[in-house]
Amino acid sequence: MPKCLIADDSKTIRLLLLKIMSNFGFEVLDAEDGEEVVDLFYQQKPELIIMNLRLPVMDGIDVLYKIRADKRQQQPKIMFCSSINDIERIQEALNGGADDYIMKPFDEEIIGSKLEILGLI
Amino acid sequence: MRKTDFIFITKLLEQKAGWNFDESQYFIVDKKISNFIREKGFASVEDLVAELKLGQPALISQVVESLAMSDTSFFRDYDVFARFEKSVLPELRENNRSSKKLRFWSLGCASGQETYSIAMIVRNTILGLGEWDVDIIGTDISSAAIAKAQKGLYSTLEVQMGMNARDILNNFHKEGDQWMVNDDLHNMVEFRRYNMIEKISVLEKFDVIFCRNVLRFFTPEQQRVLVARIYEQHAPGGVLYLGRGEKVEGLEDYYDKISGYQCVYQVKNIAQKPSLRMSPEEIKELGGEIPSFVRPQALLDKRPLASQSLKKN
Repeated sequence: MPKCLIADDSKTIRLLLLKIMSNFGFEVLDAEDGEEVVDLFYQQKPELIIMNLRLPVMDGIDVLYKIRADKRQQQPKIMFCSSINDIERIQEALNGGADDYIMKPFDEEIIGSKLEILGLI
Repeated sequence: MRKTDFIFITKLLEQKAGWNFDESQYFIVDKKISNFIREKGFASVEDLVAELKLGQPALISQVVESLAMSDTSFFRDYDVFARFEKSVLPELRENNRSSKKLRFWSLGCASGQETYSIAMIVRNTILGLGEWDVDIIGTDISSAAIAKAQKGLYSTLEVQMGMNARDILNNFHKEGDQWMVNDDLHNMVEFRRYNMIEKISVLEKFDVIFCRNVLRFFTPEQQRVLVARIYEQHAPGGVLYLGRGEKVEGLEDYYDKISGYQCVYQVKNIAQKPSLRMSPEEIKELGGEIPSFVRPQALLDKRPLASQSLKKN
């Protein structure tokens, strides 16, 4: 079962994503802040990370740079999921190596569509 | 909804749009009709049916449109479009290299997502697109859907269905909380209202027709008629896209399945079949009533024809 790590400071969003990703057949891990994402990335080696752009302790974009900079590790697919829908911030995330960027609001169908595009389902 | 009202409405839909709803689709019809009466301020389904029985064309047309299937997304079935981009379109490009003409018809295009998806792929695949004469036409029975398609303005939810963020940023710009298709893409497509049960005649045949998840709503008898009608508008060797797993009566009379593809078919070479061709008399007789996708002069003026481009070079 592929592993997906989800990270958001909102418990509601984490629970929603947990349910959706479980429905798509992923083993789901969750984190509340950016540092925890980095720790779980090294410990659990998830195939996919879905995280908010704004995370406590370490910002989502910094987590992205840190993971992408470590070329020794198997690189996961990384999608942001955020209510920050500014074109500049989305572009920054994509240029930094994010595979996709989910703009809130979203639903299960959109997550499914994104996973299909990434070839994960 | 009472059974008698359900029967009346489904018969009306069959008569006006050719759709075949049976009792298994009761809940779909009931939900859409309930939304319709709420939006239009009818007290009940019975009231609506009573009005419909008076035969007002405008109201009947609104009811038909409210039942139009509008489940659509950009690049619906992503792998289907990926193979269209990687294999089908490059082959067509080579085949049409001398004429430098390509015509696409997105039949049952709803609010235009499929039509714009085709345009994005064509723009990415055809190098020197300015030297080509390309037509991408979307048609749908719903004038509301066509109006939305023509506008090219989509919600955040809609643009995210089928497109990744890179595709969105490359092809759309923000207008408030919504996303407007960029002008270059907008200028590649045109939209028309068209009811499939009407006869049609086009001046130039289509190389590719997308008719996905449309024919399955018609009766088997109507499917046979419509497949023949679609075939009539297809260029020799033309390609037909149906919905994934869509079964259509009479398809094999006119099309061969392209092996290795799930829902892609190619025109059979049956040009000698005289019964399919409309005679000049028949065309003349139907004259003013045949919807015609004649390209507007404005579009012809904007784009250099292949012959003109060749002269320039």
